[in-house]
Amino acid sequence: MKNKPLKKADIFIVLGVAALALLFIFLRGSKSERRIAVITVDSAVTDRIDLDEVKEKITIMPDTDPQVVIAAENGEIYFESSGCRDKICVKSGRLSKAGDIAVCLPAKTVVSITGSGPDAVTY
Amino acid sequence: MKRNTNGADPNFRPALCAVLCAQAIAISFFESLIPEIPFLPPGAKPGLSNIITMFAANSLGLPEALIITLAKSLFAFATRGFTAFIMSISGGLLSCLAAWLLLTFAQKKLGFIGISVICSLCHNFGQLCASCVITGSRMTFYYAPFLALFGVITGVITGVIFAAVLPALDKMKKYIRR
Repeated sequence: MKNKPLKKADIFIVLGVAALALLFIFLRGSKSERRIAVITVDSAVTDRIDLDEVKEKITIMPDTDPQVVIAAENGEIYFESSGCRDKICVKSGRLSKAGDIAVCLPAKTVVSITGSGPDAVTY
Repeated sequence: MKRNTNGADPNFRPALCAVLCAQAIAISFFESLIPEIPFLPPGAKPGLSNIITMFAANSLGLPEALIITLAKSLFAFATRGFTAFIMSISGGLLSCLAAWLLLTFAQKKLGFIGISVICSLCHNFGQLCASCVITGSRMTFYYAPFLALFGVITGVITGVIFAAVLPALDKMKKYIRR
């Protein structure tokens, strides 16, 4: 019945998973490669935006309920506002690096940045 | 075997289960008041109510742990809507099952901290799969490394607290039996 809270196997699990996670985080895309923002609504890609070509601020309002407003400027893309309750998508902040992502679950909308290099994520 | 050691009163298990449900919901509610923390995945919560689920899985059994998980998810549905319910139950069920399996069969090898970390990772994985289904985009798996790192940290915290409060939670059983 008595159980020590920390055993040897626990330490291996904690350190192993943390190391693996950090490795993946550092292996993510750099700012230097060409960045394409992909907007997906309900599993269909609705927009592809080359973030380096965006000169003036553009806003995108996909046909979703609740309504979300996505804005792109200065090589960044972000959820400007959302009609949903938790606003997690807006709190995700501005995306600028390949591998960055913001999701609005109620609106089934995903904004992500894919690099265009040879090691870019394909899907 | 474990089922009949908690006294003869048939009301004991449902009563304790109800108290634990209330505690789990209360913890979830207080967690929802925590403001957004920078550099962490948005919407990420410490998951401290897993302490209660782990206690139920440890000293009552799988059905009670599942009832508590369901109660938490229904609370999320009532206060934050359907999406929150799906996210709560997808992570909750997986982490509840993991907690019960590990506490029942792996306590010789794993301590509470390791078990709590695995539960936390299962919770995040369940939610990631649910968000993948809801959005229909595999892109959500980009979150995985961040969630894994955050899950390890919160898992350790939850495990430490669980080990610390276990005697107090056990005492609660005695109060109810009287």
